[in-house]
Amino acid sequence: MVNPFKSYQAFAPFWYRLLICFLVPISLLVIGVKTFLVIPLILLPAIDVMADYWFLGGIQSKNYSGSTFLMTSARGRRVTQSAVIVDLIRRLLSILTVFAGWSVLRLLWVEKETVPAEELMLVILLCYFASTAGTVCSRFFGNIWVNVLAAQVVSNGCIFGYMLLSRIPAALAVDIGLGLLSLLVSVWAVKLATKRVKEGYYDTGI
Amino acid sequence: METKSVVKISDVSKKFRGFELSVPKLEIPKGYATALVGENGAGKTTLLNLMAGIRLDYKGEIRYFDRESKLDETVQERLGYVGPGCYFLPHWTAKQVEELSGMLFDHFHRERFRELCEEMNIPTGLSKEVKNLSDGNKVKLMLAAVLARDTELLLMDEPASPLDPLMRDKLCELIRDYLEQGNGEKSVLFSTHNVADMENVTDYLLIMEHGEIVEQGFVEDLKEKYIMVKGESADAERAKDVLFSMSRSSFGFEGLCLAEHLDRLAGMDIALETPTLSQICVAVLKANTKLTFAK
Amino acid sequence: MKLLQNSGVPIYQQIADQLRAQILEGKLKEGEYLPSIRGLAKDLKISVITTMKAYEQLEAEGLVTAAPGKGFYVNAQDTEMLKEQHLRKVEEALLEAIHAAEVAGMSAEQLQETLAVLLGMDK
Repeated sequence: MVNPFKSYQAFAPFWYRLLICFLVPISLLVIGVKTFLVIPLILLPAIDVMADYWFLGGIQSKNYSGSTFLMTSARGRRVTQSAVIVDLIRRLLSILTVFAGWSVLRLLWVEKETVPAEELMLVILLCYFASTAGTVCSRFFGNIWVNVLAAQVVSNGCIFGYMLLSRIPAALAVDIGLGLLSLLVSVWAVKLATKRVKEGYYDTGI
Repeated sequence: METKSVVKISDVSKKFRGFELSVPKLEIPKGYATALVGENGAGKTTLLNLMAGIRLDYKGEIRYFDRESKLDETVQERLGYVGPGCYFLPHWTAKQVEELSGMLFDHFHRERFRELCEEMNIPTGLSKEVKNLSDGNKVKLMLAAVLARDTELLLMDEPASPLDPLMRDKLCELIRDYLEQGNGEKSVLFSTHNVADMENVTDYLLIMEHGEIVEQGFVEDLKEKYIMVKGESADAERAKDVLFSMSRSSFGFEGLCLAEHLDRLAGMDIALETPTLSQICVAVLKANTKLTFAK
Repeated sequence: MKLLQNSGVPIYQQIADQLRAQILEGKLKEGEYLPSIRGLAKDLKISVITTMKAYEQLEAEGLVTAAPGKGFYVNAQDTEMLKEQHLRKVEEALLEAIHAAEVAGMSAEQLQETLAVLLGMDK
């Protein structure tokens, strides 16, 4: 059947995987530990959104001919879907590595103190939501400057979001809310990315 | 001459705004190279899209290969399609085309893909994104990806258009090699604007106009059905009614005529020639077109 | 093989004629295989339909036979038929000579003399 990791591998060039799956999370982890929690919060979603240009950039745009090749194979939709899903999982793992890792390392090495669990969850979910939402939006355009713009928006959004939301006392509720939003945006990410390959066979799907 | 069909089309129709594709019956012969010729907007791309299975909303039936199967996974595996423009994701490089081809199709041979890229001089560097390739290189990349697979039918939408004359010759060679390898089991269907370039490789001709097939046949049969007639100006008026289409100049007239009407031109001072496919196409299209020509 | 694209003679006919001549002259021997249909089409840059038609015509004339899976091979030529072919050629050539003699104003005796001299020279 379709091997999901191979699908991801096929879509993502080697340098992309090396950078995004390893170098970026590890660097941000180290940076975060050495400085502040917010630094990776600014950088990680922005980097994700930027890098997506070389992964599935423009796949949701109108008059997009790039999906025709995928449509010529019976496996086209499944391969695309696997790649999108693995990418979402990768994002989550990246974020967990950076922030949960930050928490653990801080505890062990630096100040023997960290942030409360709810706040950590807030950061993680905010980061995931921003990263995914920004990516989904930028995929409507195959333009690198749109990705740049989206990266900026997402970056600022994260900071403001963090500042606003961390002041709300009902932290758990906020977390749950963000969790649901994240789930929603993930489902949309998969649906929208595979839409062309699934429905492009019909005039209405174009 | 006995021929089997590789694709059988029955009662296919598709309506657009202001245009309708209507093909009641069409059979593509197996083991040969078929050329689909027509004006812009005649419906060639639509027909190819339907046959390649990338557009599924139409009425009627299209059946493939010996078992006359409908379009399914096994058919798609054996079908190779080269489209207009470029159908890869714009930021892909040749490497990703290779990776994806391996994932999407069972019988994809990486070695052959790399050989073909070298043979056709396609830039395969890591920095060479598909969107930055010239139109010619885009077609070559699609060709390489398709020819590196094991297929039984190649459907190509204007593959020669962006190619320079040398590469067009190479394309004809590639088509010939493909058919030869298949030993009668592989077939090719390509659409073209310029049948003169593909004349040396075409076995079967389809002429399309306003969404309908207006003429078809094996090249030899068509070259017997039509005759090129050249004559003197004095006879032009009389000849006009007999000829399929005619062009006049101060030196005389020339036009295509159905061979069976030849005796109607008896008594005129005429020279006869076997028509080229180009001449047949132009004459048939002129007779059916909505464009106006100087009379 | 030389093909003329624009002459009034269809290409398959030209191919058949040239191959027929080669067979009757003995240049293509009995049992020898003709080039493959696709191979010939490739070399001449024409459609495989054309070469197929040429070969089918030769087969209809009894000059070649199709061996399934292998191609077309030259049939044993009837020596009688070959002889007749050559005899006809001689007759044609002689008739031409007679006609030319008439035009030149030669008498029948002069013509026969000339023939004897030429035959003697040949030996």
